[in-house]
Amino acid sequence: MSCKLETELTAYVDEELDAVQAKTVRAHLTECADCRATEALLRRTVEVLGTLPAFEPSVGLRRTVLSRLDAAPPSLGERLRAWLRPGVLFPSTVGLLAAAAVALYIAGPGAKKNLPSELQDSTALDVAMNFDVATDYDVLGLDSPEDVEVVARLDELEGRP
Amino acid sequence: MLRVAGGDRLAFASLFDRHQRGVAQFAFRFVGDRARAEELAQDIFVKLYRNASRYRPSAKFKTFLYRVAANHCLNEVRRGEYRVKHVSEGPEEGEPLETAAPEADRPDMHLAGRQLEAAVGSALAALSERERTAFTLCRFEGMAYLEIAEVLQASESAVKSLIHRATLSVARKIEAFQAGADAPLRSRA
Repeated sequence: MSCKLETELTAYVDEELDAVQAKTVRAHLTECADCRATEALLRRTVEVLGTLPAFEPSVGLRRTVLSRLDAAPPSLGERLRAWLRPGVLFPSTVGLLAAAAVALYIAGPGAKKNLPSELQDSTALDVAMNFDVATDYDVLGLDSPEDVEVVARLDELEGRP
Repeated sequence: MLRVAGGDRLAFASLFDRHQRGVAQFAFRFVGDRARAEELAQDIFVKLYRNASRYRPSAKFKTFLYRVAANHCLNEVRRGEYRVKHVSEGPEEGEPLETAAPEADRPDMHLAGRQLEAAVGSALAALSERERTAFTLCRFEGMAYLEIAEVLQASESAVKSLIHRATLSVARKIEAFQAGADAPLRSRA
């Protein structure tokens, strides 16, 4: 087919042409037998395709997909979101405080007087410097069971083996 | 979708329920094989969950979903993981024709219906990947040309050409089948 409007016929059948284009094609169809035949063929095809049965996925598809999500390791985003939960933020703050204390301690003896009041005591400083190995949660001032659990499972929460 | 990005499984399950048929059908029309379509649909939804944070509310969700689906199917086919099944080559003697749905296997479904399904599968397999994607989204998912253009990241005019070529090609295949010109297919009836 060499008719220049032939390429517009499918869009015409699909009602995807604007009003001006549609009017042009409609007018053309009254005088072009080839395009009328093609238009009829396209319309029959669209109708026939509509009679094909829809694909029905198996009933197990949902279960399989959800199982795969459960089985997969958490993504970076999920791990970050877990870390940003309030229950996790608190001990992280303690860790940051400890790091700040160490930095001030290293900076010089004079810097000690600038420490926060809770770290002025040398025991508190020792705890802060050895926070990673500390297991005495009373010393750390963690009395909430949730916070204790978070500290106890730090390795797991950080995704370490 | 924003809730899915926040890890909300219930929101994801709701999205899945709403779109699983469409996605599975898209995959089926793309590869022409039921079992592979199910595997692809699984992959697509897992990928959707994992990439939910990339979704921007300014984009229509359906467009985002089918972009994930189309890219995944294209990549898998290109990687050779899936070979598009040429139904026209037909099954071996005694093997049933590939059909679109369990209903197609029912005794009351006319044999011509299954042959028509096979003819359409054959016509789809002969299309280019982009033609097949555009055609499937248009004819089986009912998407508008503009939406398809967004999925394919192509111009609307390019999509118009893809759909026209694909529809005409499928139309001629069906016409040939209905006229009895597709002798090898009919001989297996």
